[in-house]
Amino acid sequence: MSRAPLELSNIHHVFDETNWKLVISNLQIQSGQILGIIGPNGSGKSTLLRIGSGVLLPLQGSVDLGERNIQKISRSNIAKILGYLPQELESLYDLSVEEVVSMGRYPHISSFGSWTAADRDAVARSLHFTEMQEKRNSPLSRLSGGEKKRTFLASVLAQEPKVMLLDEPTASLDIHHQIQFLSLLKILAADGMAIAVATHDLNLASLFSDRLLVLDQGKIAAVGDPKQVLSAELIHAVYGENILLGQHPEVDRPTLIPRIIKDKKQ
Amino acid sequence: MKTKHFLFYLLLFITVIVITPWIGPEKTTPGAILQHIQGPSNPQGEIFFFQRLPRLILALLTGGALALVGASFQVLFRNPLVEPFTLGVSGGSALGAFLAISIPSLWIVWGPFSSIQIFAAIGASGSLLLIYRIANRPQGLSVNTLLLAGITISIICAGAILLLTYLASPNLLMSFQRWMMGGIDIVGYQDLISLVPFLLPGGILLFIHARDLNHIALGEEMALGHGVDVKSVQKHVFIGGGLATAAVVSLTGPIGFVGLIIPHAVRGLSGYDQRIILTGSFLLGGAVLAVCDTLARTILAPTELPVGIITALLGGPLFIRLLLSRRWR
Repeated sequence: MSRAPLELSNIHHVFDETNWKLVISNLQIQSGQILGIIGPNGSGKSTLLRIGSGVLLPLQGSVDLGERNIQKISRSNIAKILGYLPQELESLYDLSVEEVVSMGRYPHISSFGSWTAADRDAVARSLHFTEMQEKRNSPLSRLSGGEKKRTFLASVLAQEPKVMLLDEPTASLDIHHQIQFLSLLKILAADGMAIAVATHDLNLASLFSDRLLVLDQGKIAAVGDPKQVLSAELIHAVYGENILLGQHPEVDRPTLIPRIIKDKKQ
Repeated sequence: MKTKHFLFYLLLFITVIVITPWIGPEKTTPGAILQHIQGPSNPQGEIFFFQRLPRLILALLTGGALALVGASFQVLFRNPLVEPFTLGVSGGSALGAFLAISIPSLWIVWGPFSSIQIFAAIGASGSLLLIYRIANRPQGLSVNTLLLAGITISIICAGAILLLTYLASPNLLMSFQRWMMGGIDIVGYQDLISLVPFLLPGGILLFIHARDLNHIALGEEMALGHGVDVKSVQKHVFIGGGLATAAVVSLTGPIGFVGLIIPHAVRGLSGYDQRIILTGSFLLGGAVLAVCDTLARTILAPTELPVGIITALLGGPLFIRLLLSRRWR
C-alpha cells in the first residue's frame, strides 16, 4: 500500500489555559477517500484539522505531508498540495466571488509574476465545479450561507490540492445544500483526492464517509468503516443515551435518530 | 481596470506636483525660474527651489507614507479605525521631541538630523521595540496585544508629555505646542535626506506584502491555507509601518487624519485589492497633503498655518461624511 499523502503521528497537544489535551497516536488521510471526523463539542475536531494543515504546531509529534515533515515545508509549498477550509470564514471586505476564488492561486504565482492560462483555467474549473460561475461577479454580502461556503471551497480547489481538510463546511447549510456540498466532495475523492471533513451531522457523516473517526475528549474513540464504528455502544458512550440507532432505508449505513427525553415525573 | 485606477492616482499626483509649487504669497513665474536655472540666481528661483520644492516633496512623502501605513495597518489589525499613530509611535516620538526641546544639554546635530529629530526617532523606535517585545509570542506576533500595547504606550507617553508640559518653562510650551500641531515647513533638502534610512525600507516592506494583505483580509487561517506565511507578513508589516511612521513623524510631528481617511477613500473608489489600495493611498495621500500644505501656506498669507490644523479641520468633517454615506463592515 502506498504511503498516505497526510499522516499524523504521536500528536500530543495541550492548551495551557484549560489543560485540555489532544492525543493522536497515528492517523492517515488516504487518497481517494473521505474521512469523516465526528465528536461532541470540544472533542478536538478543529484542533486536529488545524494541526493536520500545519496551521497549529503541536507540542509533540509530527505531521508528514507526502514524504516530508510539514514544518520543514514552506507555507506556499504546503498550499500547493494541501487545501484547508477553516470553520470561521469572515472576509474583512466585500470581495466578489471571482476575487476570492482567484486568491486560491496564490501558491502558484510569485509576488511579481503574472497570471497564466493554467491559472485562469484552474479558477474557471473551480467556479464551474462548485456551480458558482453565474455568480462570479456577485459580492460576498449578496450570497446565501451555502453560496459563501461554496465560494471559499472553490478558492481552496483553485489551489489544485491533493489533500483537503474541511472544518464543518456544511454547518449553517440547509439539508439540500449539505447533500449537494458533500456530493461534490464525493466526486473529488473519486478523482483521487484525500479529504477529511469535520462535521456535527452524524447521519451525513455516516452516508458520505469512506472512513469515520470519532473523537471524544481529545482522543480517538474509534476509527474505521462507518458501519462498524457507529455502534449503539460507542454512540451512547460518546454522545449519551438519547440517540437511537437505525438503518438507512436505501443504503447499508447506520442512521441516528434523537430520542425524546421523557419528563422524569411521568 | 487596475491600470486605469493606477493611472488616475498617478495623474492626480503629477497634477499636484506641476501646479502647487507655483502657488504662494510670493509670485513665481516660469521665466524667472528658467533664468535662475541658467544663472545668475534670483529670489523667485531661491523660493521655488529651496522652499516650495523641498516642502512639496516632504508633503508628498509624508502624506503618502501615512496613508500607505494606514491602509496596511487597517488590514493587519482588521480594524477600519486604525491609523499610523494608533501604535504609539507618535506618542514615543512626541516624548522624544519634547525631551530634546526641554533639555538644552541634549541639543546635538548629527549629519542631516537635528536633535529634535534624533530624539523623536529614538522615542518612536523605542516605543516600537517595546510594543514588539510585549506582543511577540513563540508562535508569532499577537495582533490584538500589538494594538492594545500600542494604545497603552500612547497613554503612558501622553502622561509623560503632560508632566513635561507641567514642569516646562512658559517659553518652551509654545515650542511643544507647535511640534504637536505638525508641520512640513522645511528649507532645503537636508531634512529630506534624513527621511531615507527609515522611510525607504519601511515603504518597501509594505509594498512587497500588498498581495499577502489581500489574503489576511480573508482571516488568518484562510490566508495560511492559501499559502501565506502570515506570521512573517505580520512582523514585516508592523516593522515596515512603524519605520515609515517613525521617519515622517520625527520630522513633521503628528499630522492627523491622512492615514485614516485616505485608505477609506481609495477603497471607496477602487475596491479592495491591496495592490491598488496601497499604491493609490500613497499617491492620493501625498497629493492631498501637498494641497493641504498649499492651503496652509496661502490661506492666511503672509502667516502660515501648521498643516496639521488644515488636515484635521478638513479631514474630520470629510470622515463624518464618509461614515454617514457608507455601510461599515
